Formats: sequence, C-alpha cells, structure tokens
Amino acid sequence: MANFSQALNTDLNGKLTTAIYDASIAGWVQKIQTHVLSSGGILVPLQLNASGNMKTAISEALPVGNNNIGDVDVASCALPVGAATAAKQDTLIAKDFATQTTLAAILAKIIATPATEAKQDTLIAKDFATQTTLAAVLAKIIAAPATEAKQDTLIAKDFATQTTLAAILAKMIVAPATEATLESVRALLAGTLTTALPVGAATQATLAEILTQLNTTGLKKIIDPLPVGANIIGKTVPVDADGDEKFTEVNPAFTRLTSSIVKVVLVNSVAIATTDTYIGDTIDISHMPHINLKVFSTLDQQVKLGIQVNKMDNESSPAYLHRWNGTVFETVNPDSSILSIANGVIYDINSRLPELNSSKISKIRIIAICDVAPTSGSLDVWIEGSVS
Amino acid sequence: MPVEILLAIEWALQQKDSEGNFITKNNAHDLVDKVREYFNINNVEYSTFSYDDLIPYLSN
Repeated sequence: MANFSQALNTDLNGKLTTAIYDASIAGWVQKIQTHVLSSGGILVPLQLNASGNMKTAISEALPVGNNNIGDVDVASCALPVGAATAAKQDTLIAKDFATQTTLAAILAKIIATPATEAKQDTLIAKDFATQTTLAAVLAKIIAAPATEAKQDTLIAKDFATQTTLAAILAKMIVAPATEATLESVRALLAGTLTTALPVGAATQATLAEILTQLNTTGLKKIIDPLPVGANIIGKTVPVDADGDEKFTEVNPAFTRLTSSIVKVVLVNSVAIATTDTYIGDTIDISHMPHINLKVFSTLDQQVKLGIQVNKMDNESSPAYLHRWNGTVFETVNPDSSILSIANGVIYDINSRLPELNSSKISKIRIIAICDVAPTSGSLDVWIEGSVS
Repeated sequence: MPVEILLAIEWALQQKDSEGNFITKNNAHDLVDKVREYFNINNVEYSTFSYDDLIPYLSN
C-alpha cells in the first residue's frame, strides 16, 4: 500500500487527525472529496460551487419518461432573451383575430374554397400554352412590341411638326364635313342627281372637248325647235353660206313697212280616231287684222267643222260664228255641215265664209266631228294672215 | 299615248312622203299620219292624238 504524500494534522493533545481546525467557526472541518463510480467503472468526482451547491452536467439524453426538472435557468437559447414574455407576443396572444376588421374584410373577398373552387379548378386544368385563341394572338404579336424598331420610330415622330401633315392641314378648310358652302352644294345635288355619274366623269375627254368647243367656237346649231314659252335669245346675226354676215350697213335686210304674213296653227295635225267632238285650243289672233282660214285633211272619213270666235277680247268664251245665207243667219257648227271637209285637198274657208275677210276676230277655235270614226290620216287647220 | 309611241316615231321617221322624201320631225302632218299607220299595222290601240302629243317624244 502506498503512503500518502501529506502528513495528518494534530490536535492540542498531539493526536493525529484528518480534520482541519477552523478558528472562524471554532470547529474541526473535514475536507471530503466524494466520487461516484460510473457505469463504466470510473470514479467521477462530485463537485460543489462556491456556495456549496452541487455542480452537475448532463452529458447524455434524458431517458424516456417523466423527467420532472422543475424550474430551469436557461443560460442561452435560440429564442431571443425574454421571448416567452416579450410584450409583442403578449399583444399578439391577446388579439382576437376572429374579430379583426382587416382580416374580416380579406375573408369577405375570399371565395369559400379557393383551392378547390370549380372555376379555378377549370382554369387550373387549362393548358394555356395550347389554347387556340392565345396561340392566334401570340402569332400576331411581334417579338418585342414595346421596343420594336418601327414602333419606336413612330413613337419618336412629332406628328405636329411633320411637313406633309402640315401641308395637308394647310389645304383643308376648318370643318369640311359641315362646311356651309359644301353642304349647300350637296343639298342641291341631292335633289338633282338621281343617277350616279360614271367613274372619271369629271375628267372625261369627251366632256373636256365639249367644254373647249363651247368656250371657243360655241354652239354650232339648234336642231330641234325651241320649246313653247319664253325663249329669250339675244342678238342674232344672219350669215350666208360663206359665213359672212347676210345683212350689213351697205346691204340692209328687207323690211316690210306695213305688215308681214304669218301662219298660225289652229289644229295641229290631229289624228281623229273617234266620233267624239274634237275641240281645238282657243288661239289669240287679235294681232291679225286680216285672216285666211285653211284646212287640209287626210282623214279617211269626212269631217265637219265649226268655227267659234270671240269678237271682243273681254268675252269669256268663244261662240259659234253665224253667217248670212241671203235669207237667214246660219250657225257655222259641225251640225250645219257648212264646212264638210273631204280628204286630199286644201280648203280655203274664206271662199266659203267671206265674212272672215272683213271680220275683226279676237280669238278663234275649231270644233270638229266625224260621223264615222276615221282609221287613218289627220286634220290640219291654220290661218295665214298679216300681222299688224 | 301608247307605250309603243317611241317605236312608232322611230318607224315613221324611216318612211318617205308622197314625193319620196324621208319624213322629218318637223313634218307634222306626215309624221302624225305615219305614226297612226304604225299603230294600225301593229294593232296598237290609241285614241285621238295630235302632233303636239308627239313633241315630248321627239327630243331624242
């Protein structure tokens, strides 16, 4: 057995002891180092701190079961210091999230089951990459529309200062669609043109030639007779076959100093087709002091004439002319058959009615009747006479 | 006037008078007689008419 390297203490009587006398407590103190034999057969010293409390260290996991540890003073922890009692957490714990206004508002906007909601499921199930419409839209979109070179160029343009646009603007009237003059022209044309003009009508070569003709040599001739009514014609210059003026200062026109002979048509080639009474127009012949009444018929039936006249201008309607036959006055109407006209010859009525030679007649009209309806030919009655 | 009036006038203007001259628009009596003749030949019904009734159709 080995000897201890330290000697024992001795008391007042010289007795050996392992204790140490402590004057502060006036007692013997025994220094003891306690060891515990571990499961591995190793002596492990039990330690105390300065206050005499046992110092322990747990080097292995606590066994399964109830390990009641009581209060634990944690020297360090992953949670921040005081996390368990931090004011914010306390505040959060105190919150009643079920009644929070903002959360309630959010909840109100959320559908009942967003994850499985039918429409969303349908949308989720869609393969947008293969959708025909989206593919068609994609096909029409250029690669980088926002920065595509041409669009950038257009965006960079200042249309307000573009020369061409400015030139166009300068040529336009203020409000072409509602411009008063154009509107007036359009309104006039709308009532006049019923058929659309052919394309290019305004520049047609033929029209241009006609315009040139009218502006240079003028209208060459009038083919048809002028219509009935006021045909006011300005100065006319008669010319001969060579185009020279027919009447000049040294070659004046012949002028009738008393009167001139004119022809006035009373019945203008009437094709009588029935046995009805034909009543001609009332013709004013007050300007003709002397008249010569003539008749020509090609009707295939005999026609009987009557003559109605106004002796005065203010008479309302003509009345049949009466003639003196040497015994009595006869009415010159169709029934009297004084003027029965056959076809093929010109009748000089004055020779039958010499009263016409000296009569001053204001207005005249012819009445005609055929006892049998003619099937061909026509009737002409006219006056040849001088004009006062 | 009958609807055949234009055809009648066109035909009449291709006919000749008793002197062998073509009928003209201004030859009132002969023109009326020929128009009537056309009506008769083609069985066109018509009533009494005059040269004045033809004038509106003579412009063309």
